[in-house]
Amino acid sequence: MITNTLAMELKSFETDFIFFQDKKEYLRKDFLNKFVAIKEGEIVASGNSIEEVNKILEHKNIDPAKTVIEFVPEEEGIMVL
Amino acid sequence: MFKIPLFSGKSLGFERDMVTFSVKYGNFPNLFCKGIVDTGCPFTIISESSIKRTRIPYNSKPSKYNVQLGNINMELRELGICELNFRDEKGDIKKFEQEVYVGIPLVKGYLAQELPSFIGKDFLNNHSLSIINKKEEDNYLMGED
Repeated sequence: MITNTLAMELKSFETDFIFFQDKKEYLRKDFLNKFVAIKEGEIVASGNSIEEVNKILEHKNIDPAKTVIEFVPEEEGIMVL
Repeated sequence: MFKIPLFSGKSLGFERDMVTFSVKYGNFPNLFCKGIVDTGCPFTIISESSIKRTRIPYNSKPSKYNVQLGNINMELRELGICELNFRDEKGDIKKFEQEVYVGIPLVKGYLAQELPSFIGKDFLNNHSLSIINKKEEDNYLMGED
């Protein structure tokens, strides 16, 4: 069981990123070529830029630095690193 | 001995070993990131799209390297020594000091928006961490206290 607050928050952030990955196809319908912010499994903001999403989050008292904000592309970039 | 759990995440078209961590730069609040654990990357890099979620003045930082990621030219700006915090298998936090760069793509486009952060070989070497691959459970980074 995680008791450390930072550890719990990091786990929640990870869970939100995995949620984004799993829902990406579905997100393309409404958020294509936009940035979406996900917190605790919910889309809490969207916008045309990270700066735009940051402003919405701050207005809602949500810290962007601790929030998954991802771009929803039309197609997946492919790269062998 | 401690273990830092990795997770399998899709980035740039493929499933990769990824890890979540926080970055503490100076007096700025923690920045939460997820990054690819990449033994082929010499540097630990925070993506520009990640750092844009903060007010960290990365644009005023010195440019250290121009590199290529795939066919994307990227500038690495030296953020300096930061504290990186990882969750271990027991739910505690492991702290590390690490030189961190900000990766700024020099092109526009959807691929540039998706460039990930990287935990590089520099971090693994500096802190004597190894990637352990497991058959039926999540992979992890192993280190010694």
